Amino acid sequence: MQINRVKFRGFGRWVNKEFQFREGINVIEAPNEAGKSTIIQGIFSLLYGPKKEGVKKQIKADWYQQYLPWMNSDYGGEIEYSVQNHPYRLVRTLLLPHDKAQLNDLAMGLDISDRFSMDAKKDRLFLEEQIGFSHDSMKRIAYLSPRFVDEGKEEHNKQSQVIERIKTALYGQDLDVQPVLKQLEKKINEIGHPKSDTKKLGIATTRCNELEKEVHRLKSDYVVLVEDIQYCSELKKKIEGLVAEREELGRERGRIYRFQQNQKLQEAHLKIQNLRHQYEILDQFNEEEAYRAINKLEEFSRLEKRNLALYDYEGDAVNRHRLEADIADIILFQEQEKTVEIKKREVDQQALLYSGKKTIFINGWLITSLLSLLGMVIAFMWMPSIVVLPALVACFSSYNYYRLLVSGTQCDREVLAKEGEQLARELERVSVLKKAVFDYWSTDSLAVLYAKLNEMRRVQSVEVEDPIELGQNEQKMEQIHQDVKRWITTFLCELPPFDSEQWIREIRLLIHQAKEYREEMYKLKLLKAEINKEAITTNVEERIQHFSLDEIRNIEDAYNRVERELLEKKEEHAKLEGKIEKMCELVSVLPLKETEWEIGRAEVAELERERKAYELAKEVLQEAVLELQENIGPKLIPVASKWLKMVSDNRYDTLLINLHRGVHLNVFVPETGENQPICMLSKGAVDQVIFALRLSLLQFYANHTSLFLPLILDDYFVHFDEVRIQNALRLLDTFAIMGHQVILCTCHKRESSVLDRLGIEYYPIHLR
Amino acid sequence: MRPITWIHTADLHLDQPVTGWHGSKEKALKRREDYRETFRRIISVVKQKNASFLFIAGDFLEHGFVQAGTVHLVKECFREITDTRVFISPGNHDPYRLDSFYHPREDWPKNVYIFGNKWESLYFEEYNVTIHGRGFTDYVETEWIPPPTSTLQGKQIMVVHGTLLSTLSSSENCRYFPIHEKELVGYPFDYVALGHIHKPSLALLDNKKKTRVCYPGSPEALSWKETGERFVVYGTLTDKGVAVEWIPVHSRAYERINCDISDCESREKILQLVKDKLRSYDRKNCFQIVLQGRYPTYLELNREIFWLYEQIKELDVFHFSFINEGTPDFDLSFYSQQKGVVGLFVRKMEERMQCNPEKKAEYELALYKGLEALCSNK
Repeated sequence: MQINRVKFRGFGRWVNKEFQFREGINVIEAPNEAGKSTIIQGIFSLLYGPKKEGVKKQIKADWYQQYLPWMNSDYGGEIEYSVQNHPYRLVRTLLLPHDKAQLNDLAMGLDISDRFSMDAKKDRLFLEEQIGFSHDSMKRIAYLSPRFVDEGKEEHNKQSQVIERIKTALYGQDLDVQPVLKQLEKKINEIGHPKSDTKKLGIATTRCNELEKEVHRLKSDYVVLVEDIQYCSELKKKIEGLVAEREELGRERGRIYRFQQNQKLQEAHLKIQNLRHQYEILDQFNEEEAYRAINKLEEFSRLEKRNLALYDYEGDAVNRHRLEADIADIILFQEQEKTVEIKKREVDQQALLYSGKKTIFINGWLITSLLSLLGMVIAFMWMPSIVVLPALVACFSSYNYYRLLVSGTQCDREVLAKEGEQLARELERVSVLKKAVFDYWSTDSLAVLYAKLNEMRRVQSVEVEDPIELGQNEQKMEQIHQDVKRWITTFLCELPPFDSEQWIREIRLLIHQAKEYREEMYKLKLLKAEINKEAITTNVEERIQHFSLDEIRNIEDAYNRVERELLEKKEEHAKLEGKIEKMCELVSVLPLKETEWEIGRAEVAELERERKAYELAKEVLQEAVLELQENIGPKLIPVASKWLKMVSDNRYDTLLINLHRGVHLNVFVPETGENQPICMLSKGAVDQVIFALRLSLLQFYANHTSLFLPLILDDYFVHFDEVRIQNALRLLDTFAIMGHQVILCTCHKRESSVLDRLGIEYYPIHLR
Repeated sequence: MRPITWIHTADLHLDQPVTGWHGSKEKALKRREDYRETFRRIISVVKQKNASFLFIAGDFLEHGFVQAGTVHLVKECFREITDTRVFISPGNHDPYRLDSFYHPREDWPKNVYIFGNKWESLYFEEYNVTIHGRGFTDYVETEWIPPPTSTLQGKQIMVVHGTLLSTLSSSENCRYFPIHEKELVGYPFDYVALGHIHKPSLALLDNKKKTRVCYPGSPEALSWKETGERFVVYGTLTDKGVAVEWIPVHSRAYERINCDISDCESREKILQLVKDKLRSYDRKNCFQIVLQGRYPTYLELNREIFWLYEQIKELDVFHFSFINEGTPDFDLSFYSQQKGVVGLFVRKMEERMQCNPEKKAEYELALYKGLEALCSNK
């Protein structure tokens, strides 16, 4: 390929300006800011158009704004070039969005634009199809400039940039993708592994796993909760059943209760009847009368005391009366004693007599029967004919003996014994009474008692001061005694001997009994009233007959069982409800947690997808690089080594490339006899290597495609010394002779002088 | 004869976990409450229309997730409409199982009837109508069971959860009670209340009764496929036939907004585009903002989405999320023709995509990730 003519209608500073190029070396020599680089950019712009390449949308190329024409708005121009000696003219309007391009076949004089396909931006791919290189690729291969190295960057970056330059020079393209792979690796690392706790994917996975566990736990809780709710519902029904059962049993119990009340009522009835029967008389008992009687008796006592007081010897009257009574009693006792003793003596004598007679008779009859038996034996031996006689006597006497001994005396004996015993008791009783009287008066003789009585009578008859009052009192007392006796005998069956104090006690006892009786009656009446109040119906009466004790016990047991069970169930239900309430609260987050888990899963899936995409990109990229390296690298190395040897004046003759560890370039240094990495060489040496590699790349491409691409050098030899520049220009001459066009831009006259000196033919292009 | 009126709904999925959510937990909770609110709204519609029947054709209480509190609320709501007879035909998402809240039936209000797995027909003399129905008792029911023909008294309404299959469709892969249109044609149904399909539809059968077969759709959106307004069906049956009215009941609509960002050179322009699009929508709704088209390769869109999210948040929209369906503006045909490593990389990726079409999306993403890295290192 050769550039023949470039005409700018408007491109940066160049307006309606035309430049001619020839085969071989073209030198554009002009000072800085003269427009050399504009020409070079203009060439590429006219060849490839104004849009950014590699994207589908119409976006302005990076340089577009920088080269807008200074003087007019006719942005564009035309370029004539030849590919494999076939001439073309490409006319372009660069002004977007109205850019246009037309390719003419100069040999045929035809517009051949339609023969080329269009890209997504509807641009015809002229150069891409003619030489197989895009704008960027073409620039990377055919363009060399020292501006590759950014002077403003840090020193430590320079070496790596040098290597990059060399690599780019070697392959003409982005074959070394280590930075890209590193970037992809960085992205993969940023996402991390599911098990790395500090990286995005690990954090998301951990969170997701935690949520999964929580959701599963909540789900099992949910299952339990549903079971509990259903069980709670069953329990509720059971409770309702038990309540109904309890109610029924309660009704039964009510019936039993009424039955029992009825029984109590009956008992009360009975008790009232008994009490009435027992204390019937107390019904008429009037407490006031009783107290009146007590008052009277107290009056009696008072009168008695008064009467006693009427005597000098206090208590004589009483004592006299008592003594009189006691003497009478003693006399009576003595008489009774006598009578009883006589009777007893008689009985004893009878018993004794009876006993003596009986012994004689018994013994008589015994002897008679024995003798009869003896007579019977003798008669039997001597005179058997009379044996009957003694036998009869024996029988008769034995019978009498038996009658007397066993039964005949029994009755009389018992009567006599009983009578004897009775009389003995009577005698004892009388003597006890007698002894008591004697003890009271501290004597043991009736005569002494008479003497005492006489003495008392004598004294009393002398000492009574007011016999009228005494008499009146005694009358009153007698009246009281009679009144009280009349009243009290109504209530007491056995009235004790009159003693006012004793009688008062008796009356008080009666009052107390009457009170108790009334209270008991009152209680029973109350009970009756209460039971009656509960309206015992005739049905109850009927039911009463159905409740046996067993039935009552069974019903009571059943009621207690139901009550107990109900209590248990209610307790269980309450507990369960509490548990359900808590569980409901716990489980209420389940749908939310499920949503969170879903979000977590989506996040993990997205990160995994991204990670996989980066891994895949890395894998395919490595695969592509390896393939390219294996295809191009080995073929390129001999060519590159040849050019390196030439450019270094036979100093470096071997270029070593390690493809498997990325692109690592070494040269063999003869002084040290070692392989040195290129970055260890001097800047000039590096520029030499780059220059050689670029020439080799273009030659390599020409060898394989028969397409001789031009080489454009933009102030490239600025760091070359005199010797090196001579070598470089000689090489350029060789390179041009091989068929490549060279466009050399420089701001120095050094290159043209050396060319002149070396006699190398070149075509100078003037910018004016 | 009293006029027959009904509200027909289905697929409410009460307490189902919110899916496809990218918002906060709090908003997700609110969203859950929305479904209950929608149910309350349905009950309000029933009251307002004084409907004789409420048909709930399945997928009503999400099995395994529905909360006791929600069930309590539902029962209370049903107790508020004692004049309306409620028929529930359990679906595959709320089968009438022993571990379901439908069990036991007696625990439900007296005006609620829950169908079991056998066809049941209930005749209502005051309306002269027979309601037929059946429900799922498990998660899957692959067999079509025809409804009985012996109890066809008065007007006929069927309530069931299942998949309506057109005449040409096969029930071979249908797992959710296949209902063949051709089978239904033979029945003298006036109205068939269906549930299962979340998209509302009303079909007219070619029979003497001109049976209306209706899916009311989900009354509240459950996924981002269910966009726009959501309805219940208010139906009336007179001697003239069936009339159907669609009543919107949703609490919030799901809206998918497609934004073509091909002309946006910066994130600010994308933001403006999204804001302009949002302007025409009610902000109480939920939005899925889908970024489509080719975006400049220099825009790292996935990163910029975070920025966009923060900006849109200030607009007080209830819920929104961004979906990046855009592609970086790489001219693949250009790169594939390149001789260097980029060209080879693209060609290799395209080759893999052709060999594994099922993994196309995976390789496409890898291709763009690779190209992004390659171009940023130029």
